[in-house]
Amino acid sequence: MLKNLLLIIIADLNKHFKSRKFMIINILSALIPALIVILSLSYNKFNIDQFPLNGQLYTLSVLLVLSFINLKILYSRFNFSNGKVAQEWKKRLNCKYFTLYFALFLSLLIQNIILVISNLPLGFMVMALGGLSFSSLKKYYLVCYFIINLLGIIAIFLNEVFKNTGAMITIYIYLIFVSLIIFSPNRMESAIYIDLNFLPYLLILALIFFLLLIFPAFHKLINKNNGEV
Amino acid sequence: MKFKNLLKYILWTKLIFLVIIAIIFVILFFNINSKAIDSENKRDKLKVNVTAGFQGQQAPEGWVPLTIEIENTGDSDFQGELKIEILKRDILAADNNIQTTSYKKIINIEKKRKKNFQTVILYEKDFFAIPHIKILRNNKIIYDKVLELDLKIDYSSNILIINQSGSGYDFLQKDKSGDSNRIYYLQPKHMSEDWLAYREMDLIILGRGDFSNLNRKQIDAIKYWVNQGNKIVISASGDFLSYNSQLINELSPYDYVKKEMIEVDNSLAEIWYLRDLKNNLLLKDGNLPQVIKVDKFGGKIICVALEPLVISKKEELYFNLLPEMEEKGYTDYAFLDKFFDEFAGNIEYQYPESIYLLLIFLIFIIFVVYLYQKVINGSSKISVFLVILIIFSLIFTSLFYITIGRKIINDNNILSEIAIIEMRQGSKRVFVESYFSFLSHFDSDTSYYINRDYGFLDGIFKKASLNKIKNFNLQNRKINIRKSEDEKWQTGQFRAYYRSELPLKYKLIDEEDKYIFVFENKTGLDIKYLSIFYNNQWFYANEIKIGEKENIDIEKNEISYRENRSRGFKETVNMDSYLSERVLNEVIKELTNYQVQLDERIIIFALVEGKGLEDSVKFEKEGKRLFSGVFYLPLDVKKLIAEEEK
Repeated sequence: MLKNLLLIIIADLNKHFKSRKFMIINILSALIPALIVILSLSYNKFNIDQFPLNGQLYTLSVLLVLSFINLKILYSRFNFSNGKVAQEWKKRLNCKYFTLYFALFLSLLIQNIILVISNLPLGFMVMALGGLSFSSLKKYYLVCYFIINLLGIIAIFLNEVFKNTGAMITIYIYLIFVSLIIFSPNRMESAIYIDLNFLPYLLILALIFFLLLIFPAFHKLINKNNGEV
Repeated sequence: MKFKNLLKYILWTKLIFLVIIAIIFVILFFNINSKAIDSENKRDKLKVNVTAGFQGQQAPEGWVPLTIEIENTGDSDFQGELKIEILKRDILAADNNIQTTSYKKIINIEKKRKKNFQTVILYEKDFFAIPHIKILRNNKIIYDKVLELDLKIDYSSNILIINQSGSGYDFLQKDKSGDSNRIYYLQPKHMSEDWLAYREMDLIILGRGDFSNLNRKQIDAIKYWVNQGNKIVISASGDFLSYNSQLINELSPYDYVKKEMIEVDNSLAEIWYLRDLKNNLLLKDGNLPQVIKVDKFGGKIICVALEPLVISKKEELYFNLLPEMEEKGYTDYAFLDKFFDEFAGNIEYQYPESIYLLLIFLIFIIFVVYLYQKVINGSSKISVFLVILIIFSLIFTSLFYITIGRKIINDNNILSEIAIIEMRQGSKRVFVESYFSFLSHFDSDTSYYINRDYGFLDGIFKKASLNKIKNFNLQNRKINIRKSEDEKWQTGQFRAYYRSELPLKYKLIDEEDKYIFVFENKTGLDIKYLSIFYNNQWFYANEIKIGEKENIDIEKNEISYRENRSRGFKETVNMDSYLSERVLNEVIKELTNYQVQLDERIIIFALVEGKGLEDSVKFEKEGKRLFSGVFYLPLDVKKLIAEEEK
């Protein structure tokens, strides 16, 4: 099982890191928040009870960009494989569904580390600009990393289950997620506009999807519906 | 039977009465006892003696000296805090109380010891803002006294007599021209250590008193006051010992050799034999000069060598020494306090140009692309790529933060100064009232200080986030702002009063139908805008940069145009530190509303910008200073022309 796990992780990472698309995704995920933060600097006006605008812009833009990447692009069939990821590996290694999806999840964790770390220089730049404090930044990275991994799991599920309507559903989920963050009256911290109340629901949703994925019966059901044997 | 019942009844009622009395007694006893224990715990056996203002608690409105004498009569050492606070209550808005701290010092007094604390406070008659002197121990108030003075508010000249007796000069109350003067007395031992304590005085007379026990600070305070272009009179009534003291030696250029009584014009007079630096005796007999005037320390020192004892002759002598009614105190102290929120709210973050930050970021991205290319080409393993990418990101981030990041943080420790600079005719020295607002990055410790010889910090305004500022010590002219506990930007306001130098050269050329004012800017500050108020008209000059000259024509009689006085201010609003049109108009209102009866009066009014004045508040570490100033110089045209002709 461990051997299979490693095999799948390495193969998945290879597939990602050796493609130019992941490089572009990574660069865009770092560049878009940077452009937003840096170009908005002149709009930072002093307010006695608030942090400068760049902190909010940074935290929101990084979270939204990384969430979008996780939901829409990382595991979308249109970008990375011609067939379904899981079925390919299942046929090739004859491993359990749990091993397969757990490996994909671990690979996701590593990819997301790279995405988050490439945002570190901008994070510290924002810290110097006074938008975020160090402790807020630490908490933010933890929360952000947690959220994008959950969204990654949801993306894997959607990619496996919905053949034609997957893209539409991911966008709906993304929009709900965005509205939960932006239109929330609560904040994680005074400088970070993230409502953590929705996190348990996201966690439960991701867990349910993950559990569904590791049941063979569920795959049979999907295949039947899709007309595959 | 009935009698028995009655007896019983009386007995019972008495018993009940006694029990009630006993209970009350016990309660009272415990109450008193607990209080006694409480106070013993506090061990706050302090005797506090507050002396404010001059003799008889009298003072002019403005800066007054204050001495607080604390004696610890307890059996243990006292450690606590001495504070002078003003709580300004806004009767219309209950939540809008502003607490201002004018003085704060941590005090340690050993048992059976006495300590003196000297300072100056800005005292204004205000029913809603009375200063309190508080002593705190473990943040509990153990002494609270309202400071009340006998204020004299009028536009007369103030004369301070420093002598032992506290009397003898009351004849100066009315001078020759019928103007009334205010006379204040002060004993030499109570002389203040701050020059600001004498700020409201027009003349100081040193009379008969012991000046030999003064400390360095007391002597300097007098010298710095003279330095502001003031007059001091050393009378002839002192004795040999006191006139051979450090103070008189430093003030007077002459040695006081010997004192005698002589007869002049059939009346007795005191005469001092003075010796100059070249060892020549200046006064050998009762001949003139009786009075020697010396320009020293930027002011005037008048040595009276022969003083008649007959009061009528003495009067005549001193009437001639009285200063002319000068125009001073144009603006009220702290008249811009109401704009503090505006000042603080308009400080802008000092961020670098976006293009530089983008470039730094692009360097990072280029390196990341380079690493990816290596993996895509197959020349690098994924594990190696991951490790290198993570290490590089961390190193790049920390390098950025240590170098550019720290610079951005330091640049965002902003101290914005709006200075109201008061200059007097014929003097280079200026008195400045400055309104400071600061903005401090949450990730840095900052401190501001002012040199004690030059100025004084007043009034830390406690509002909103400022409550979190822990460490400030106004007694040492210093404010420390520690890293914010809740990691928020810190902001606050305070005032500073200081003296400095502003070498602006001006000349008035009198022509037939107009005056020509010639200005030469040697101030080290850019004059962004200069205007002259004369005959209810405004005359304007262009920007005068450092070292430049500019002429302004002033029509004498014809009223060529009457314009809105705020003309042109809109262009200069965007100065370094925030000066809005509203603020400028408030200053102008203060300046032009002041009524002094002069035939021809000119007020020069300028907006200055630059690095700030030399003796202003400074950063102890790095920080960014913003400075804008409103500078005003009232001039008596006749006096100016007379001086030019000389």
